[in-house]
Amino acid sequence: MKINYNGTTIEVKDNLSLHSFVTELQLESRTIAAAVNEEIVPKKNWENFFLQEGMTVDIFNLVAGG
Amino acid sequence: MNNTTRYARQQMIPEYQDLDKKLEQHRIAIVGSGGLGGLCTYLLVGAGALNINIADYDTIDETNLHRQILYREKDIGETKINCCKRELIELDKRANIKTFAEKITEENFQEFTKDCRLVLDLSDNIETRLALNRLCFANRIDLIHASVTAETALLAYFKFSDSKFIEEYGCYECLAGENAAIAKKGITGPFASAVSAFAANLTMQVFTDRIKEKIGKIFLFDLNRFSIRSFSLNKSPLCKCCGDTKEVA
Repeated sequence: MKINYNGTTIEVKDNLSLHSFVTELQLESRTIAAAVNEEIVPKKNWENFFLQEGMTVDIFNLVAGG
Repeated sequence: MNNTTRYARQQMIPEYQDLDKKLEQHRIAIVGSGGLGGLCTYLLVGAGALNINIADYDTIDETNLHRQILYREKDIGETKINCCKRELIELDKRANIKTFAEKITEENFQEFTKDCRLVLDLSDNIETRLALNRLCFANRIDLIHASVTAETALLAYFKFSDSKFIEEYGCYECLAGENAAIAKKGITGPFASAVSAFAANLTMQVFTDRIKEKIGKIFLFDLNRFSIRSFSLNKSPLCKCCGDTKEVA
């Protein structure tokens, strides 16, 4: 299926959780936040959140500086 | 100098006609007086927020000067908090600034936030940010989170005084996770100053009830794209801070 990830359309396998998606991208989950269709998906919900065709996924780095 | 003269230009904005009076009625607690906290506090005092509690236990060194615009070469080695207070008093001698040259913890949080309805988290590390989120949530004190690094910044208002807000939007830990880890990265003066100004603006909007459309959102600033995007916050029932299995009161 196709999703939009950080502004680019990409092909991903069906039945893919957000957690698995982040893992496949080899991202360090402790350093990032994720939103789907402009809604933040809390980190504890990633394993049970399954991506669907046409979804827009934004993953961005958390920042802590000041 | 009277207040009509002093605030004349901001009073020309209809929504900010009474801004200085509204700000003066409150005490604001601010954590951090560095790249974000220094300028943000200065702007707020300038706008009329004359009652400020500010916490920072750092001293000024040479690496601060490119972005922490309240400080000068002669201040190197001095505590940030004392130099910050000096600059604020020079801006407005009426300012009532209480300084806390210590880490804000469960032990001193009550004293730090006494008479405050809002905490600004303008600190520089994730450990403090997670701790302040928990403390503000536990005490139901509203929290503004502003953070910045190289070309990315985040800004959000957590209205912990409103149980409906918590129920729907949760807290910073829902977003970041209790094990969030963020390495120290580069930062520039112009971007830190820009985000400071946005944090000050958001504070002004909180105290003038112009916050409705910012409730429940986190704003992502992308300097590379020159964009500001917003995402809706969502509570996790599994959050250890505010969820059904929460560890804090």
